[in-house]
Amino acid sequence: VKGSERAFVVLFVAVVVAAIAGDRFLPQSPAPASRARMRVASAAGAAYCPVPNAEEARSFAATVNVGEAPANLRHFAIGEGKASNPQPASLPPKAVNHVDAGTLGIREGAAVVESFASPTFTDSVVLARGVGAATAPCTGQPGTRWLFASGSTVRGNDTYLLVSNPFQEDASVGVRLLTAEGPAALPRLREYTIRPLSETVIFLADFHPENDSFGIDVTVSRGRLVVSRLMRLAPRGGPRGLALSLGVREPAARWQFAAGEVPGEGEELINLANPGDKEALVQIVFQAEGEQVAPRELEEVPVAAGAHVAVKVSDRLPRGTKHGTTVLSTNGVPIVAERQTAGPSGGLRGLEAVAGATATASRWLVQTGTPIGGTAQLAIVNTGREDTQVAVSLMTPQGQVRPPELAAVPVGAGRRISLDLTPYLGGEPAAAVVEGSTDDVVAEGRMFLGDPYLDFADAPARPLP
Amino acid sequence: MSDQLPPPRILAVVVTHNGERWLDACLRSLAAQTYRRIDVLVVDSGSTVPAEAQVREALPAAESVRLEANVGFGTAANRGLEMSRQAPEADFFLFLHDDVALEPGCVAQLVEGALETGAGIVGGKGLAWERPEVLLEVGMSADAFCYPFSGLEEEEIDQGQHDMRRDVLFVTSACMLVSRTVLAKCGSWDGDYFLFAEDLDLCIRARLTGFKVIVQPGARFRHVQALDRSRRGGLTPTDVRFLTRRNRSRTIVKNASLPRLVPLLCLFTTLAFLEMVLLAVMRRFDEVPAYPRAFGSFLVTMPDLLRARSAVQKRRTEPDRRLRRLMIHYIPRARILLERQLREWERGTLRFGTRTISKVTPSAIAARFSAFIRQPATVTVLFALVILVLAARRTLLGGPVAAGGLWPFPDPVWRLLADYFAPWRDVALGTAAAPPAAFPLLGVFGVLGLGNPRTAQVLLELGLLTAGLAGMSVLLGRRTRDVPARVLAIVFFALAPPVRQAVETGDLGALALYAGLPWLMDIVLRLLGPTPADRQERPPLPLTPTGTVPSVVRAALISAGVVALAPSAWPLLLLAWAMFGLLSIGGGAPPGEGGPRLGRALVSLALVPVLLLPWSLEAFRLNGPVLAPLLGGRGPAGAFGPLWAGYTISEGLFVGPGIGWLVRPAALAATLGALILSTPARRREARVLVSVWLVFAALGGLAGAGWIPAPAATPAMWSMVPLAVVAILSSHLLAGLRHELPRHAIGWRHVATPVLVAVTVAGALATVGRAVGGWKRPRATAAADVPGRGNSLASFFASISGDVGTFRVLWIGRSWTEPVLAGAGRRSGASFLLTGPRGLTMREAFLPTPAEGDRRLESVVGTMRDGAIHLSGHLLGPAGIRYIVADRTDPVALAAANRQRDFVLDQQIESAVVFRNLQWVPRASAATPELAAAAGGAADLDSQMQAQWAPGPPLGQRSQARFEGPVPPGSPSILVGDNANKGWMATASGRELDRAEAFGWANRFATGGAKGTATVWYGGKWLRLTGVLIQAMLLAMAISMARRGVRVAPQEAAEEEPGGPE
Repeated sequence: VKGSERAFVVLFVAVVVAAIAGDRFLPQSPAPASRARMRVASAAGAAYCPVPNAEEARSFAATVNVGEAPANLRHFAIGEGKASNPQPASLPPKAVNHVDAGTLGIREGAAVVESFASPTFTDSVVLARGVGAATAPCTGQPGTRWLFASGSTVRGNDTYLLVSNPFQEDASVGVRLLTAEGPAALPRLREYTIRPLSETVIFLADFHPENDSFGIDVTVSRGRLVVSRLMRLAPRGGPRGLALSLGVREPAARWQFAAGEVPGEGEELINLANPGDKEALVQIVFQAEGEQVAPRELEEVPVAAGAHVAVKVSDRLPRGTKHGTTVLSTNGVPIVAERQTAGPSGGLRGLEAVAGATATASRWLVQTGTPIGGTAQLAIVNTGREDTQVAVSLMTPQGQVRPPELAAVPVGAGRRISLDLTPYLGGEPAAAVVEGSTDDVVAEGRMFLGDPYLDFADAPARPLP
Repeated sequence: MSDQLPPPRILAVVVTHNGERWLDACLRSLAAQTYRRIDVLVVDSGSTVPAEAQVREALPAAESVRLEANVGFGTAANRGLEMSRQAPEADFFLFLHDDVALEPGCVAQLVEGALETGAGIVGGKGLAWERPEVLLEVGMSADAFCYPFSGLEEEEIDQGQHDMRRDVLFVTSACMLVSRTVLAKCGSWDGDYFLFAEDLDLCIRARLTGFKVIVQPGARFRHVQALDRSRRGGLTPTDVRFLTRRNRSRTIVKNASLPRLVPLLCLFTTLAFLEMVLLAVMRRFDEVPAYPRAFGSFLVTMPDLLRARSAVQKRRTEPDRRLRRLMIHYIPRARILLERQLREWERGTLRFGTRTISKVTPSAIAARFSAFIRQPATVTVLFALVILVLAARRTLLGGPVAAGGLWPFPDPVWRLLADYFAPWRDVALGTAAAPPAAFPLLGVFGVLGLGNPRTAQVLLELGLLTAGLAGMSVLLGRRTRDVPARVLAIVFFALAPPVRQAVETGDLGALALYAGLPWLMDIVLRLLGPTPADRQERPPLPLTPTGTVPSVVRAALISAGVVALAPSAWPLLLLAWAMFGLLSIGGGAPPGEGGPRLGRALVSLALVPVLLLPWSLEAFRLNGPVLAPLLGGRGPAGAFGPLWAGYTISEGLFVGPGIGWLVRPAALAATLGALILSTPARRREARVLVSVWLVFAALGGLAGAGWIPAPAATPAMWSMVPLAVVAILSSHLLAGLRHELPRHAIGWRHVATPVLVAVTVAGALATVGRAVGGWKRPRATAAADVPGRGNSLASFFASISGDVGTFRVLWIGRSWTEPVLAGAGRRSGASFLLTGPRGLTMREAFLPTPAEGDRRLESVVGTMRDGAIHLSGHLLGPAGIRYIVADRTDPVALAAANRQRDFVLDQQIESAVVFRNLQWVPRASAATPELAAAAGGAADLDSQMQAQWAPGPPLGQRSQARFEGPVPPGSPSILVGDNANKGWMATASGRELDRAEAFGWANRFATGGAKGTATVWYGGKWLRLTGVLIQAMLLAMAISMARRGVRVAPQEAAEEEPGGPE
């Protein structure tokens, strides 16, 4: 063997050793950035708004164009196995309009708003004389599972499920209740058929004995549906109220509420429902407003698998306290959380139940104002550890308004603020855009309506891209 | 014969050219005729020895005319008639060849036949010159392309079986009685023919003018057929081929009616192409130029030809169908060729071009096979194959594999071949791009599998694995005769981790490279230098100079086969050959030889795109399947990305990922042993091999870590070169132990070598043990629809199999797009898959380069996933997408599909939710006014989505690229969903329709109120066929060149037989 051959062998051995060592030390290159996906130039979407069909109720679909181009809208209703003729409309950028669902041609059905060329968001507003008012977001995403953390079958505190099938195929749903004792199946709602292009109202008291508080788990075994829940408070001789909520599609480990207030009379509840098969340990943290004394933290609340727990906020905070609320599943088991507020009198007369926000965002869109006036407040919470500022603008039927006094509103770390938007609304529906500098900001709207509605309505915020 | 009229006067015109051997007999036979009113004219057409003296001696009364040059039969006869004194007096002309001898009553019989039937032309019964009992002709027929056909068996004995006067298409000019009226009305011989087919032309012209052509079997004559049997000289086979092809095309053009003319000429040209290919395959290259020459001559004489045609058609009184009754309606040439081959087979020989292989009798074949099967090399391969089959049993049994690049064959399997010949393929959004060259190869397995898709796939897998083992056996056979050494190496090569990974991931590309690499390395290593061998009596094997070019071409052919199945193998081979070449230059190649050696190796790869034309025009683009994995960006993006992510340098060094702990020291031991302990020649080769191996390992590790692009589609493919290297090195080591250690003194090598061999053997045995346990079966992708594997999508496909109309299925979601698109090596970012109605098959294995329509589809799906659209059915429908399958494990995909208002939920199954698109437009369909309005606003997507249009009725599909159907009243347009390809055409009511783009990926044809049947088709069939023919010719030439080396170097050829040189 020649010298050069020996050298080659040595080199080979060295390379092998280096390779083995190199594998340990050679760092992985960062993954290449994913290619930007091409999109079609147009944005098109549909918003499905299940609304109640009661004669005394008037329902509106309020749409805001958050894009930079005019949106072409088509309003129509679905129900009774058909879709009504679309009513076209054009919506300028950064503007809001509303349509009375009763004018869309189908009385017993859901309103649908299609938009083209620009992204929009739609909320439904329900006004029922002598009963109350409510608002809820519409959804563009039909799903196969819908969850609610609040419900009741107690006489005078009725819960209805508004199940819309906007598609041309049959759908089947099954409903189970998440009670304090655990899950309760409703045998007669196991494979409940929802006809194509229809809205079905399910009165839960017809299927379950009286229970004052439970969660609801709606599973769509076939098809795609949109499910909302209408709660109607009408006790004999007591205060009345109306609450409309769109179900949430999946549980989450963190929920954030901005517009809480412990009423002087009545009760504010944090309803927790655990649709999973593991126990959740939940911690509730409050963010106080102004100079009020910071509330103490609650201890962990166990929520058994398939069970429901209602936490009275008045046990934790003084009545009259305005606060934000963070619900956190400390063991990571996802849950559903809602804040339910019922007041017999005073500022919080009426009923409301609203799901919190699960996403984090720096920009939020909040439905505010109603077609019949009233007062409107905007609650903003800073859950972060540093003070921040937010800018609030309004999208009204006349276009975007940027009040100078709302251009830079300070929000302290771990604090909540309330803003009165009534002066800027002119008695019409609008949408508020809250822009923060961090993702720690969450907003929520609350509207108060006077006679003949005498109710308040909470509007959850939606994250904006 | 009439008693009142004198018998007609006959002028016998004998045309002679160098026929002195037979002319005497011919003239004497004329003198002996019982019919007495005969004058004889002998026309000497430029004979070397003038025939005049011979005529004077044999038949003094005959008139003789001498032409200075050979002008051909027709012209000579015409000139003779012009110059003859007796011609004006004649009632009939008897045209004769000079190699014909008439029986005494022949002319009388001919005249009798003419008078009794009123025929314009009469022929007789031709008999063989030496054996008059053998029939040569009793009237002739021809096929549509004017190929003459006698209807007789070869050497058929005349027993009177054809003795019946009858109408025939033509009689030969060897002995032909023609009435004066025929020549007056139809014209005389066409002098432009020179030779061959002029008799057919004259007879057809006579028939078209209304004359009969009959055969009078009583008129017997003997015929030498001197020209046909090459006994006359002067004409080469090429000349004969040129004249026959040219004259047949001339006859067709002159005489066929206009409706038949165009298709006949097209078919004639195609047949001529095929004949050229066949001649090239049979290595009769000298005859190939006759075709272009004939075609050129045909074109040059076209003006005259058209004038002649005009004259013929003016005189025509009979339709073609009268003529066709006398023609044969099949092509007899194939049958005749087959019969000849069978006769040779019976004689125990097989003729292939100029080669004749003897002793191909069944017993000889059995003996040869018996010897082959007993060879150690064969036994070794079979042994490894058994273990390999045992290891891969889970893959080979059960349903078809559907993973990576190995997908089920389509049912029926001939779809692959149909796709190959089709001008337009309906894969993805449809493409006119040349189909992949893999289709014919895969189609072969379909045929071998007797049309069963599963059998075809098993045969493909087994075939590739067996080819790899056989190749390795040959490669090793050049280096050692030691059987244990070869067994050890083959076991390594058969059962190493990359092979297992290829089988377990359905990696067709890696398997193809596995099959071809040993053969290629054998050739290329020999091109680069002598191959080391282990015995003095078997010296190193350099390549003979005469074998160099064939070896390069052989390497190119094998590379082409590998690249066809594994496109990204081309850069890999390029790197390997370049390194081998450079290292051999640096390793002591003789001065001045290194460069040429390297060049030869690289030329073999450079020829690959040429051999794979026209597919290579697309495949070798930067975003084509050959280079896309290499240029796909940093890191293990794209093909088989997850597999690349785990690839490390040490894995590359130790023959691939997932290697057992025993194999690592085995690979190391084999390498060290080959580098230190073997003979100098082996050590030299080992250094080259190991150097390449190290580079491959380093590059693979860097790719695995994400620092460079993945250099090949899959890590298994990349590991094939190191695997082959280790196999060779292990054989070097063991062969060295058994044959090359010094026997006169014991030294350290006697200790070290057995130790290293023991470690190597232990490693090899470890692979056997692991393999016998059975390799995993590839995880099937649902998109491939594998029935019987618990895949409920099979029932979905079964349920839609009866759906009317052509449609596509869009798959969105991770669980099928990732494993499938990874195999495609492109579209790594795509989250969707588009297949035909039967799911994913091998037809989609080689997707065309994305075109505008694909990008649009990608954007629609991307927008769906972003939640920015809810009426995507409107945009997908015009592309023919009828079903959308959403992956349950991909919540984004499922939510996107759920959001679409124009989807209807069709089925919910375990792994997917299937939606039906309400806005589906059949692949070719009439469009309603609303749809047409939407289509017209192609740039305005909002209008398309907002338009309330409904799909129109589909047109019936006649073939892959042809649709027909009535235009419904009020349909303003017809839509064809594909890549908006410009090759689509449409007619309605005989009018061509205008085309405009619609929906970005559909073609729209405005009917303009036309009624009746609409036809939509894709043009370019002839272009595609021409491409196929060119490719076939290139391959045939390459095969021929490769085989030529075998003939030149028989010793070398014998060594290349599978199983080695023993």
